[in-house]
Amino acid sequence: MRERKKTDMKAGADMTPMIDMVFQLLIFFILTLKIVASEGDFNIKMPLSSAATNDESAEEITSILIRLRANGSGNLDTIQIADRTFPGSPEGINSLRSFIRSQLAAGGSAAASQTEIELDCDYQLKYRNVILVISACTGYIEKGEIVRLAEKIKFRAPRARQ
Amino acid sequence: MAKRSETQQVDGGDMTPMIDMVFQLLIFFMILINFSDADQNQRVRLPKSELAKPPEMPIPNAVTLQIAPQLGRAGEFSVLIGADEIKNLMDLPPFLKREIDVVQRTKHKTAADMTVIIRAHQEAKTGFVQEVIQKCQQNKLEKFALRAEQLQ
Repeated sequence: MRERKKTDMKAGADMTPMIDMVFQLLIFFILTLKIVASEGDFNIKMPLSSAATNDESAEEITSILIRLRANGSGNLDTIQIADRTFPGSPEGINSLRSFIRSQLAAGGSAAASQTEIELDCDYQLKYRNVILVISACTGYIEKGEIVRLAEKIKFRAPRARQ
Repeated sequence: MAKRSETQQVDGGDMTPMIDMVFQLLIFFMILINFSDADQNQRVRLPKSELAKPPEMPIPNAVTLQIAPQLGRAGEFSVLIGADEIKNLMDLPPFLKREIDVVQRTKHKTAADMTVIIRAHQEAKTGFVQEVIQKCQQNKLEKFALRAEQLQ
């Protein structure tokens, strides 16, 4: 009789607090879970202008100035490089990428590290257009791999609010 | 005797598969959770780019500035550092100095060693983002990372 009682106790060990706790934890983790898209960065090194000029003269950096003009609603209107102008449409962005590729191909193997893209943007231009242009200048995807183009990007001083 | 047997069945209903399952779920959610996303403000919708690959290593000595639309004021943006919201850019330098001080005291690094991660809303005005960068430059911060969402 004594032995039987012992077995009963073992089988009936109270699991309720543990299950309560595990459910609490489970609900906490389910509620705090956020599924977010992965994010990446475009690195820009932009010291104040006086320091920058010293570095550039030492490394002989070629600068390509890109002027981004916005229309009234803040969307990209035109992209201007020297005397060439591209429209702000996806086709224009692709033409810009081809232009940068041809420029870098003409500059030889070290061109990517020695070319600096300088962006001169309208104040009201929507930021997503800048990222589109930076993407077009810094690389493209070929067979699932990123092929890098210009490595150095910087901004010109901000234009006045219109 | 028959009655006793019934009671025993109710008491001893086998909970093992359920507990196994619950533990599996718990472990799944614990592994999946990512607390490093805590500094992402829900108001900021990042621009998308196919080249925006997640960095292999976290950026050391980073300070994150988020540029988010102001609540109730269409077309106006403010800068978020941690839990602080700065609506006027003239008020930004003391907050930057505070972040630089923290890195100097805890990691013995200067402002030039720090990276400013800029998480700007895709509709933000570029001029405003540039003004934020300019304020950082005036505080001797010179490395910037413009954050974008990876386009699938």
